[in-house]
Amino acid sequence: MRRLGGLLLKELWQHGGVLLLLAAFVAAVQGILLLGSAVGPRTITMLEAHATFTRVFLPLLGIALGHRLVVREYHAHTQRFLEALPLYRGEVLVTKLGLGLFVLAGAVTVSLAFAAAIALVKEPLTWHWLTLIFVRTQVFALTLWSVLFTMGLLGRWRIPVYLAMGLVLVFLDQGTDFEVARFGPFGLVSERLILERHAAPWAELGTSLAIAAIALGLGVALALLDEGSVAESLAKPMSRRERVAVGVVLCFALIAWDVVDPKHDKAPFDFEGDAVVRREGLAVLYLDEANRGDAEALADAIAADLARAHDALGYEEPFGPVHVALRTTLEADGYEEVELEGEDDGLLVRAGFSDPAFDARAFRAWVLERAIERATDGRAAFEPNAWVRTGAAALLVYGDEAPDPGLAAFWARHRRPRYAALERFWRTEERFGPEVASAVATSAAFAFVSVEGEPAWRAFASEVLAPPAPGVFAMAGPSPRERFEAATDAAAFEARWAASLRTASSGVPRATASLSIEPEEGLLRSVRWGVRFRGAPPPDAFCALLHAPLGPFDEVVTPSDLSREEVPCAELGEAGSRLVGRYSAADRVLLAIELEVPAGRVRLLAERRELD
Amino acid sequence: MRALYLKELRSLWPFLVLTSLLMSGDLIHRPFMERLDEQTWEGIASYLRAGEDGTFGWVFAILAVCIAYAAFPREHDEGTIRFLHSLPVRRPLIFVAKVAAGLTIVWTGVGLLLLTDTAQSVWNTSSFEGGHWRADIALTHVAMQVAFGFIAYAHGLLGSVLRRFGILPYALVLVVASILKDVFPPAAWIDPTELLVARYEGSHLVIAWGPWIAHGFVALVALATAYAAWMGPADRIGAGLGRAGATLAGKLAFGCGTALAGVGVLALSALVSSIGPSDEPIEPTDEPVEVASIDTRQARTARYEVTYPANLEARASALIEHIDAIHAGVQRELGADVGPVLVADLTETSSEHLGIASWTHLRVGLVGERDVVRLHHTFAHETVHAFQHRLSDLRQGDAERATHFFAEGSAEHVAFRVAPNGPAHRQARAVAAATWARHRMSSDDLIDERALRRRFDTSLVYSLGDRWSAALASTCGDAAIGDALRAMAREGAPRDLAPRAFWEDTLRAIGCDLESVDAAFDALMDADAEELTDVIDGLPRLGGGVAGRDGATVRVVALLDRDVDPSMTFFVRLRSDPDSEDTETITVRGQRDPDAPRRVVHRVSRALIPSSRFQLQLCALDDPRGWPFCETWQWASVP
Repeated sequence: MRRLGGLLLKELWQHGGVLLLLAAFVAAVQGILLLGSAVGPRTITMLEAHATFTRVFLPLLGIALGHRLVVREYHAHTQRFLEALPLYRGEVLVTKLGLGLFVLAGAVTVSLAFAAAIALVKEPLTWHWLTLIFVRTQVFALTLWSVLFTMGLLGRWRIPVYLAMGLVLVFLDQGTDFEVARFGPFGLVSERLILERHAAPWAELGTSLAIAAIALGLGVALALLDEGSVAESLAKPMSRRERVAVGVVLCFALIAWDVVDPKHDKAPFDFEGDAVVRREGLAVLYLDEANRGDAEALADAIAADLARAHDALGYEEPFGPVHVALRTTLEADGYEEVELEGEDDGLLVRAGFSDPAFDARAFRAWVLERAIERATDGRAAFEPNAWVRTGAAALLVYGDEAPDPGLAAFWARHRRPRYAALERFWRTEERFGPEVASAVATSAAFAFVSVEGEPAWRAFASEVLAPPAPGVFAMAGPSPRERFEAATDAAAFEARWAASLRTASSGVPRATASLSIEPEEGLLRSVRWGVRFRGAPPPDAFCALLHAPLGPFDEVVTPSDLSREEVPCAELGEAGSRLVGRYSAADRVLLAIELEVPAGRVRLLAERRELD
Repeated sequence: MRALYLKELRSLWPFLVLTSLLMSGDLIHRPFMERLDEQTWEGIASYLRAGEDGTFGWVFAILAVCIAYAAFPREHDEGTIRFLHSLPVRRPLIFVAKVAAGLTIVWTGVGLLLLTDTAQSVWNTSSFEGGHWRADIALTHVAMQVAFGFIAYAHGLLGSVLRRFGILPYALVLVVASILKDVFPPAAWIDPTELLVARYEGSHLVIAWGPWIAHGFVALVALATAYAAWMGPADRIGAGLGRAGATLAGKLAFGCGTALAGVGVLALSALVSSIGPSDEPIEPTDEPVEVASIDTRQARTARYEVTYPANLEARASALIEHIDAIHAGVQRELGADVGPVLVADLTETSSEHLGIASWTHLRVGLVGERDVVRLHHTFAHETVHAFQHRLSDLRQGDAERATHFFAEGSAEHVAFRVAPNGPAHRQARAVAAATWARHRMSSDDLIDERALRRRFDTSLVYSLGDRWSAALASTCGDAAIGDALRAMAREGAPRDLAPRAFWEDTLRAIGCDLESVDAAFDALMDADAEELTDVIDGLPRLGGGVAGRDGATVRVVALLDRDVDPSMTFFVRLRSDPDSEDTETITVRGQRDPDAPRRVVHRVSRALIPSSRFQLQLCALDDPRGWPFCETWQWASVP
């Protein structure tokens, strides 16, 4: 005992200054945390200061203390002086272990005492509750110190082992059912640390004590094995190269992690309940028995479309599951695609298919587009391929009956039908609207078929819409333009396409849209917009200003991202309408004016502007 | 000097490998995993995305600090610094050579990052996304990274003086910064990783000069201090102090001094906490100010242990009479067992909320709440939260991004059933329906808290969440709310799911279907909009933004699209970016222009604005105790 006392005095003499500094630090931290809890807007109890101290500062304190008491002693080989004394090695270990534990346990005790003293002013603390917190934090401190002490004996390998332990824990947490936050010592200092007033966390306490025992056993073995030479050899400092090698291994581990991307699985998406019509690889949710007939007809048609597309495009894998949900609040032509998370979840789309005005064929073509996109891992939506996707879907759904090319004819009023326009499909979509762009692609596909025949189109489409090779290998081979030029005579195609649109009637009244930015007070800006018709505005037409703020980088803006100010065109008048003060000088905005007529929605104008 | 610099550089080459891997390691796998002709520049260089969080800053800072730690500690610990001192090179130049070598490695990483990100993004030739790379943005952000690298390196050099203990003061500073951010959101700039968060005005990257200058200055001070510690007089002073500290008298003096400082800090904290939280509302009020006395009383019912301010005993007693009935009602609605006795703290005073709850604790404010019906409702709402935490075994909080709307919405739904408040419910439904219709929201906007926060008023989780909970109950049965909570805690429930996947999984576990619930919810919102047309038509649309600046005051103007009731009030919310928490949002009340009733002016002190580029939201309030109608968030700049 006397020898232990002497050793303790030596440790206190050697580290006394640091320990006093740490005491001051603990006091300062606790004071700041208490202040933070007092003024924090969402504080439940003042004991939160103690919880933060235990979770954040105690481990930091432990790491620093472990370095000071254990690592430095072995690193500087000063333990040899102790070994030369008439002492057992175990006594040296016990002294360091005891001192570290005393400091950490003392720190959390002081932390709890201060927090409890201030909480007592307003809160109904009970001895049972405080005892629970005390036991939780003491066992946590014991486990923490046992692990850190042993890690200190690992010398130069302690950092790699810390990193490996951390990575393994995160991997287990993210890739398996194991929950780190509720396990053993982590569970002790979880959210319940200061809120659980009744139940003792026996499982966490037991696990923590077991971990502490194992860690201590390992530590003792390391320190005593082969007369301490193992610990001493481990204590040699790591060379810079070794350090960086560890860093490099860590980097590769992180890269591998990024590639593997471990995550929890859930069951693949499916509809629950009875109101579902099912076909192979297809489910249609109809909500109410009254809609069952519509759902069955739609399911049969979509199932046939998918089968036809699978054969025509030569896919080896079947299309993933397709789910169609009835959404009665959607307009007859307002379809929605929902992004599902899992790879096996398939496709989920919504439509108001019970609406008498619902155009089933247009919807089926749209669903087929989405299914092709999924089958090609999104490659079919790549800009130069997008028109082929839309055209192929339309050809498969409409067959020999070409849909009305009216909206494409409207586009042809403003642009010459050239392949270059198809290549820049997103621009066409933004400038003229999605319905017009879809009609343009469809009319181009039908023109292609009329020039080269259906087998040539199938060959071309199945080449463009083939599932891509991974990564940059998808970029190998001919470009979409080269494929197109190899498949058809571009001049003949463009001539036939233009001719088909020249004779078609668009069904869109001739109108001119105007848009101007008007300065308001200070930096505020208003948007004045209007539509002037050649003749009287159609009585059933709606005019709308679409607008959205833009980021610094140009991206496709989907219709759902656009705000819409809609008025009957007949009410718009000569002066037009104003969007007051929504944007300011220097904002980047997308502004579009849309006309809604029975033929569809067409954009008369669309601009990306940086406001002056 | 040059030879010394090259020697230092040679010794740091392994760090160059590490830096290259950290900064440009994606070059190893991205080309094999992703189609580069579909990738965009800011998709690859994610640190350029507007408002992206500070993760890149953290990684970069840790790297720079590691490099800084390689400069001096080892030379001193192993005594090799004496060899350097023996060279015919002056001490400042030794310091400069080491710092220059370290910074060369840090900045090489910056250059590599620019090169590899650019090289991977040139393959995209699509019409919109092909031309993203821009020299002005690239060079500006590189300059920011260079400056940030210097700042992190300087602090690393200073921290390395204390070796491992160097992380402790910095951890403390970060905690203080985090507290400050909660208490005074404009102080967010203190967090250095905020410096690298990209904000844009139009297509130009905005540089927040104020924070950069402040952090640059502090970094220079840190560098000078590090110089003094490693090379200068502090080295000698430290040795002297070490000798003094080795004596008993020195230890005693040192210990007493630090203990005194600690006691001082504690005394200060005790003083502040006894005063209580200072939630001074920013919105002015004409009502007499009511305060809770420090003196408290305690009461015990079958289901609660209650603490309340002694000066509000009558109000507390009126509430306490009913709380066991409220508890029983909540228990019945959720199909739950009785559970433990709850702690109810009625001393809460907050301008941010009416109450909060966690596990077995709830805090509800009696102060300023004279309406007994509302008080019962708030108490019921917080009691539901306590039940939610227990029934879901705290899983609801683990998946907060997916469950926030449900936590608040189902609490409102159950509270309106247990403690009915017809007018308040009607007002909440009207605001929800107006926002829903005018902003063309979808259920996906509500389910994902991050999506909601990006564009909409986050308080919609209460009113819209209430209607979604009603749709859940009508579609899946009255027990569905309680069942959903229990399903979250079921054995083997997958974790870390995205919001939609979370709800698909949870509802499937109770034999229900998210699409069916969402469809019912859509229909319910349409019905509400139709039923409450008269109330909705009374709510104005608000256009506007920053109009100008008068000295230290920024003028935010809202222009109304219709005449409104004179009692209607207006306010603007301000936040740093779409990821800001509710507690980091500042609210400023507006004044109607007496000459132009459709014009509302909000005068905002520049000091309250979180950054030079920020977001604002214009709101109108037709019932001072109800929910506001708000436009979507929009970006703005300080003129």
